[in-house]
Amino acid sequence: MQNSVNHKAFFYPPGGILLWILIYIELFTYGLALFALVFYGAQERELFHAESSLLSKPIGMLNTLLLLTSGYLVAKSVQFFKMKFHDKSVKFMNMAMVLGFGFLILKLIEYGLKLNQGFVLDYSTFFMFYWLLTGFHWIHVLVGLVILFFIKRAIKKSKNEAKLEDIEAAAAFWHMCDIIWLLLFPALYLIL
Amino acid sequence: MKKSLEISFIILILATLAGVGFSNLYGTVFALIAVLGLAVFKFLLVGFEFMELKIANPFWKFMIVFYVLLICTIMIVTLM
Repeated sequence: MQNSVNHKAFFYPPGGILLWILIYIELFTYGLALFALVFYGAQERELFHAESSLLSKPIGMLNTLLLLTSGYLVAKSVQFFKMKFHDKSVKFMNMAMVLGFGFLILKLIEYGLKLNQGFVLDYSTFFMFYWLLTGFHWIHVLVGLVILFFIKRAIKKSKNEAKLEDIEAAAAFWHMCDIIWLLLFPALYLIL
Repeated sequence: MKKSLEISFIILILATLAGVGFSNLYGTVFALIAVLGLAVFKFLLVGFEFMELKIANPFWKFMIVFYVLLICTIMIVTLM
């Protein structure tokens, strides 16, 4: 029975308690960094606004849409796995990975543009935050993609042996990348 | 019920577009609260629908709501 876990129990949130502890540690860390960003942003409001305006809102928005769509496809993939539609689950996971890869590529294009304009890590306080926050997030997305790849391969190879808990954990990690970006995007691109 | 993922996804897309739209009103308290309010909404929608927190123990639900409200309140108060 694949869906035998009682997620209402404290120790069994969807994805597993260890992953949720990791998620909260990540959220706490990013939360502190975001607080530091707005704290310094409030000190030098005009400078931060001028430099934030140098970021491309359309690219940031497109990246958000890519991650949200990818997150939706992963959620559908988990849903199909629970319904034992394994082929559909793999198909949706593949589509999610393509969009996740698209996010990474688009971010690299944005990085290239910023480097060409001379906005490197030590250009200013704002760009230090930009590179560190989005850079670490980029690495998280890359790790998430690797996890999704192995999970997808497990579903494809041994349909009945792939564990729902593992798939939910992989999906939760992917969605964590999503929710972190949902805070980074407005903080860096929209409100400063 | 089965369509809740699709509905959530459409709302997330619309909220993203609205957030970018509100950001054009930069400099107003309304824009700040609207953009971050929508970010909180999207954060919780992904958490509850995509990450399935809606079926989790209330402790995990509380933690995520508490976290995002705390972070965004701090951001709003600091920037106001």
